[in-house]
Amino acid sequence: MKNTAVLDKNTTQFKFLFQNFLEDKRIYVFNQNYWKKTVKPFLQKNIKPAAAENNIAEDPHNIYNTAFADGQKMYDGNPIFSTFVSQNKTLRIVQEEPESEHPAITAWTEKSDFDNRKELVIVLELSDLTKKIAARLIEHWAKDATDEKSMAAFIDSVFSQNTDK
Amino acid sequence: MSSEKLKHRGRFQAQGGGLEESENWAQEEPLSLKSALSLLLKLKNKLSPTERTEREKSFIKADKFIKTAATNGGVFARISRTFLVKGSRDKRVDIEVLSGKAFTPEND
Repeated sequence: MKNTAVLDKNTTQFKFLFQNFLEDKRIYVFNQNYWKKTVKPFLQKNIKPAAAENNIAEDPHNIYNTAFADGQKMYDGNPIFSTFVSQNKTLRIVQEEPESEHPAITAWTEKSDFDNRKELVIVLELSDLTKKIAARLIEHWAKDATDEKSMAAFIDSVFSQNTDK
Repeated sequence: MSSEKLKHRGRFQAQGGGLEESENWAQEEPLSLKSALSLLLKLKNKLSPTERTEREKSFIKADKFIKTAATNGGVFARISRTFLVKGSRDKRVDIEVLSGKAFTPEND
């Protein structure tokens, strides 16, 4: 079961963050660091061994390859950030070009076919509003969610206040 | 040989809104640009007209990514990319390169 999402169409007052991240590589790197700092407090201490066990490159904060075979980086936000958050849970954030008139964020969990782990996927246009929702989801996924079902319920509860279901 | 033991593996998926369709590859050679585009089209043709129309832009983005990758020598695993239908909860097209290399230019 893929989980839920939110697009709050009643909210029009919000501010995009790192707005030109797809045009300016310097902003893109700042944007990546933003995610690193946001996620860091929620990470468990054993993620490095977890990454190693899963035969993932030394860096547990960069699960997916974001460069082409010739070494050129993609710089397209897909994903902008990925990391292990615990022994068997990962996070992948896809940040899209800011263009919507309303805050845009969606999320679901899925079972990875790479190995024995579950992944929270967040797709969003980063703004002052969506960053708060994303942070809540990440914190719960890292600290409290015991399985996909409980995470699905949490996503539902976060989004139920302002979703266009 | 089981597909897990083959060196180059991955899949294209169309998911969300109750849909779960995929086209996989598992082979000894890297997946070429031509084969990748053909598999992506095969996936697209599995969908109903409505499902296809909803995901049209996502398929275009996936197609563009594969072609861009080919001009840059392809990609190495692990790749996981999501092309979400704008404004939807979870309707999307995904590309996963699980092992090895994919989207290699034809003369590679």
